[in-house]
Amino acid sequence: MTQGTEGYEHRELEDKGKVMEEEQMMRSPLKLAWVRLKRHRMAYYGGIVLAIMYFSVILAPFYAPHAPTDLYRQKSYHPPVKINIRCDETGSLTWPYIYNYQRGNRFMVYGYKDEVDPMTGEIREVELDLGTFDELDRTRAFERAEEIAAEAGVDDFQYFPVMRVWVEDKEKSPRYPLTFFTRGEKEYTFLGIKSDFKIFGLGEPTFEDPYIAADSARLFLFGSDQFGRCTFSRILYGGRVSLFIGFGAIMISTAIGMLFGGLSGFYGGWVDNLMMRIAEVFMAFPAFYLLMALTAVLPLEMAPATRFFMITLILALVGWGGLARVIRGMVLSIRQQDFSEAARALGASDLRIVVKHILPNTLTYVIVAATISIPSFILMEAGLSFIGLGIQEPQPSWGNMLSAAQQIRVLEQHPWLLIPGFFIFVGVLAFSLLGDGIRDAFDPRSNLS
Amino acid sequence: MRTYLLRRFIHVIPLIIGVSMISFFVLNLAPGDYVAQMAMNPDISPRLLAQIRAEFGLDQPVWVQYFHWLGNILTLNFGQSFAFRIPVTTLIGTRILNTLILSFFAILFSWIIAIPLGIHAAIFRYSFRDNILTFFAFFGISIPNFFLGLLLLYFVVRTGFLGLPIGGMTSWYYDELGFFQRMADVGKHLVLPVIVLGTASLAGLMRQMRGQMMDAMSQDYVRTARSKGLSDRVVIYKHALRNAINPLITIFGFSISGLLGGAALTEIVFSYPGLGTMMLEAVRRQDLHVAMAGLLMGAVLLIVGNLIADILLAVVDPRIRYD
Amino acid sequence: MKKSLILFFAAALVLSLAMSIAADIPRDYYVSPYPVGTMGDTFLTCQMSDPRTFNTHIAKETSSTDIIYRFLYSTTTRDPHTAELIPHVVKGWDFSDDGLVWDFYLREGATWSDGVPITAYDFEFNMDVIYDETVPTSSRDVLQVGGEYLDYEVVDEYTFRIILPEPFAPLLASAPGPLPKHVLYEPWKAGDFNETWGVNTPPSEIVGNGTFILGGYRPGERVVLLRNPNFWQVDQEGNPLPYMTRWIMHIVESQEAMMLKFEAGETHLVSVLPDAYARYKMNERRWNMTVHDLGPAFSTMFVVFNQNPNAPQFDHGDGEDYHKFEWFTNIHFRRAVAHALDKDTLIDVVYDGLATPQWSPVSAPNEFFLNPDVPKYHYDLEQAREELRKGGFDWDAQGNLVDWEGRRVEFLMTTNAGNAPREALGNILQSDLQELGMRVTFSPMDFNLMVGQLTSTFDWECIIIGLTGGLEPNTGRNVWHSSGQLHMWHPYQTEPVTEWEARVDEIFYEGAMTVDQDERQELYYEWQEIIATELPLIYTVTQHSLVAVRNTVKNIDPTIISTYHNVGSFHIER
Repeated sequence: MTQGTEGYEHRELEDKGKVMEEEQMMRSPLKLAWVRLKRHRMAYYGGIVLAIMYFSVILAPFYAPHAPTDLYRQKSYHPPVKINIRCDETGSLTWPYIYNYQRGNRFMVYGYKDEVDPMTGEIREVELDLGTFDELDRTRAFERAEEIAAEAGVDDFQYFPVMRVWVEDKEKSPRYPLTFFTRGEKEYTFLGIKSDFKIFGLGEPTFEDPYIAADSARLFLFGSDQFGRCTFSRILYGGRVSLFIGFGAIMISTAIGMLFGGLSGFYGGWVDNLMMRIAEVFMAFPAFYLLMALTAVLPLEMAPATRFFMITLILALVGWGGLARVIRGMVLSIRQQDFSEAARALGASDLRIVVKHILPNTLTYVIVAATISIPSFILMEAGLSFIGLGIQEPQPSWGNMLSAAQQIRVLEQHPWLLIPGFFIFVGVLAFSLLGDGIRDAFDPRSNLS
Repeated sequence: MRTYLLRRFIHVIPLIIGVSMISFFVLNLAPGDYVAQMAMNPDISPRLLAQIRAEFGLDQPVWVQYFHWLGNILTLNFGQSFAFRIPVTTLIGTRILNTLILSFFAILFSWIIAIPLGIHAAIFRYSFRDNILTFFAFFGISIPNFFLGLLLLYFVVRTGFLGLPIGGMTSWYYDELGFFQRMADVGKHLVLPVIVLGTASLAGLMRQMRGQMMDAMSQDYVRTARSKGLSDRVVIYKHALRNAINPLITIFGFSISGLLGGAALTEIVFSYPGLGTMMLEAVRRQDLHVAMAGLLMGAVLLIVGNLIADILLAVVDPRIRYD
Repeated sequence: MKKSLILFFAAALVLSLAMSIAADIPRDYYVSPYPVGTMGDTFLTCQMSDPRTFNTHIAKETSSTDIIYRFLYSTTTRDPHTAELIPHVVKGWDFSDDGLVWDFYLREGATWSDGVPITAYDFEFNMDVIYDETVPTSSRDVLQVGGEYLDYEVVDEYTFRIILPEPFAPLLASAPGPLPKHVLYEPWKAGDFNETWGVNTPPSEIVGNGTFILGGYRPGERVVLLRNPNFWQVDQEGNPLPYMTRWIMHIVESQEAMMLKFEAGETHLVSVLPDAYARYKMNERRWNMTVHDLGPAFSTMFVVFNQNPNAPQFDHGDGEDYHKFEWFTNIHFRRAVAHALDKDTLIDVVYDGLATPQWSPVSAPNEFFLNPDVPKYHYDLEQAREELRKGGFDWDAQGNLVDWEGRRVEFLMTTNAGNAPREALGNILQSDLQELGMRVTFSPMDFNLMVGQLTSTFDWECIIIGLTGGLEPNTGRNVWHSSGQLHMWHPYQTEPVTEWEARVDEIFYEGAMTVDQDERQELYYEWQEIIATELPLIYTVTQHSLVAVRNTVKNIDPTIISTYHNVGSFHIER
């Protein structure tokens, strides 16, 4: 958790808020910021990456070959399918296709060789570790072991199966061509419309698959997990949780913060004093422990969507205190400025002053604060999942997918299950870079323009 | 200044009471209590459960429990751990120290790296070098701590890198070592968790330093110094840096507030005997007094950290006066 | 005067042989049958979490008992290979023909680690403590027959007698061992017993009679056990055991981390997760270690449905979900679920083949009591549909399962979050039940929360959970007797609601009273038959216990009963 840094970021923003509003008088800060942001290269790329990510996860049903919770349990720990673009027989380019995979074995080969001990002159047998190979067929396994032994220059060898692995079945399986703009197996609902349209999928096999229907080929672009769930599809759907949980949390905490801080700054006096003490209570909580305690309380009957919302709400509850304090500061200073005094003298209502002058200011602040805080919310969700309190299985989130992959076995045998970690990484990185750029862009002290 | 401190101190009291009250009720919000989970053990009868519950005072209404607890706190009695049946202060004492050691070195690590990098990035601002540094700084915060920890552990197991130990804080033969060997032993155990924790706060600090430095370099006195013909080195390190580093001192106050809570997940990954592992356990198992003490400790550190930050701010910036 | 006495004489014979080798060794010392080893090494292992206490009567969790049982040995133990009860701290026992009077003979010359002899007064003292109602010990409930405390007396310094009000078969399995009276009497008298021997007690104040004694404890890091210089076991040459000077137990919170520590060469022994078995097997030579597959373990995992009419959502017919009570009490419904349970996939996917289907409540290692011929429900969705039809269920036009009043069958299934096998089972079962047309929401939850629902609020529908079985069926009384609090599907019954539950109550009553083992076996066979027929708990699979040991550790002989039964003989090859 990046708890250590959050505090002073708020503090720093508080200072900036004061400078920003001065500039506001002169020209639209948004326009200025946009010009500056475009020149901030890293931020610009970060923004593009995020746009692509959000676009894909929102349209997940069109891209995902499978539903995120569908199990193909005969296909446990299936590796990413190899998309062949060359014809096996001729080697010429052809329309992309895949084979069905079958369970084979990984064999381990040991070779034995007589060696003369240089010290004593004795002859003794040495064992050589000749590595492993994957093979479907047992007789062919012998041939391959023999080949390996011959290559290493030993006649005496031993080979044995050590684990089961998936092997492309080029002999018995038909070829499944890739198709585009096709229909999926199951219907899904998108914005209330039922459809089975998919951007891509698998076409009809070249001949009837000799394996039973449950074993037929699947388009596992990023492989499958323990239960044979499609990692690619789960990443798309899980991204909805991970990318929107930060968004939601910052929205809610801003709403609370604005309301709370706004009222507090507006009324001032003892109301302000009391409300700020309450905000401080929330700021004084060690956030992660509070999160832990609160998520443990969530009732179970909740639909996944509600649970998601509740976790978002809790994340927001942990984070609103600092925001409230910053916004209060802004409100206080605006209230005292000449123009608002003038506006009041001209008979403008309090509400008008708030809407016209206070809100635009907080808006720029919120944009900056949001892009800076969202990554930490994404990481918090991952952290909660790590201790089993985040989004619950079987609903995917990048956090719970990554924490399910916290095994040495995964690192060594099923590395594709770490792909969600890559997405967390890229998402957080992109947000951080964008946030950094936005902060610079809104910062009048920066001499970019 | 003195009156200011006094006022701040008086503010702290209702704050602590507020935090403790909310914590107490949140912890009690979860159904069941510490004793309830023993119910899954076939050897323990309901009668025994009731007996233990009465012994811990868990059969009382939450209000009564809270005020009882609060009363004890006023006499600096943090109560007993249900699970360990020893005073909470004994239980937490060593672990707080361990967590502080870890966090201290993590902060040190991130400062040592972040400050030079920040200065460097500011000098070469908006250049390719700046971009690369920015990118690497954010690299660290973009990997979830627990995952980075696991990757490092795995790396060390497979390569035997530097003979680093796999988790823990001391080796089993620690007690037989001399003083300096002990230091080295703990240091060896700290390497990985410090890297993981340190990289997490590196980016923020580095960006901060870069901003301050850029700020300072655009000030009039730096321009004046330059125009006097002083070399870039002197200008940067003697004039700009001095002014840029002042505001960073206040950040140190905030770092203190993050000392306790920030390390929880990293501690779990590295089986580090700190507060995090224990707190997680205590919150989950509803070992009420331990969880309360931990939450309260965290809160006090946050408050103290803020206070220190404010005071440092007044010390380094003569424009700020508290009265 | 039965088997145990023969054993006693056999032991005595071995002992007298041993005596001729080393004359200064007390006659009653136990002689280890393992080859002679070398002294002075350190044994390194890991354990999951911190001990909470070193006080045997306060300890309620394995993280404490795992350490306490290393320095405080009890009256009896289990033969590591046959699971038979054999003498441990005592050298043998004897009982009257009516099975009411039991005499335990102590090993003369055996002492506590501080050199004070272990006498019958230490046994008496332990009984005094157990029956002290201010001490929260679970032994008090175990050592009651028909609600009455047992009588006990010191016959002489080396003979301790227990007198039962009526025959009580589980006595031997739960016979309390000695407690050092010379150390603990004072604090007990002062009323401080519950706070004595806590984790903050200096280890030097803790005495024991086990292979090792407590040497130190660093919270969150490790427990250090030291060689007991006064241990009552010797090797075949009469050398005192144990060989190891120290036993270090690192505290490591996760099994993955333990395996990493082992792989880095920091420990000698680690228990291996099934999905890591292949990797370990592959690296046996490279890492110079051996992986032992000890076979199915004692842990169980089952699916249970709420059949409690007192549950708030059922409320004897007034609750809003009462129809669910009707489904869950419908035996055909439960059988359908049993048929929808794909054990093979579970074994394959979760355990990499290293698990065994379980059909009866008795754990597989308990061969004596395990009834192999109980009804079995193989994975077959057709048969499941057949059962549902028999139970009065049907399918609507969309293929949704509906009951006799057209209500859609839907329920909530849960387990404790973080338990990978249970979550996996939930995922697999959910998808199969959906195949049958049910709408099942599967959502794991916090362990405490779940236990709360299970034992006090009763507002649950379907739970996947497990219990650790033992070798003595009577220890499951709390689960199987209709009045038990762990009678999960309908706890705290005042009168058994169903006939079969009444019969199970009877069996448990008789089973505890019957001393003849064959008769007991027959009784408990019947109980397993009933449970497998009525399916209050639908058993799933049992994972194998796997342990990897460095080849440098000699004399190690892990069995499913115990890995450390001969820890005194362990030594490291140089």
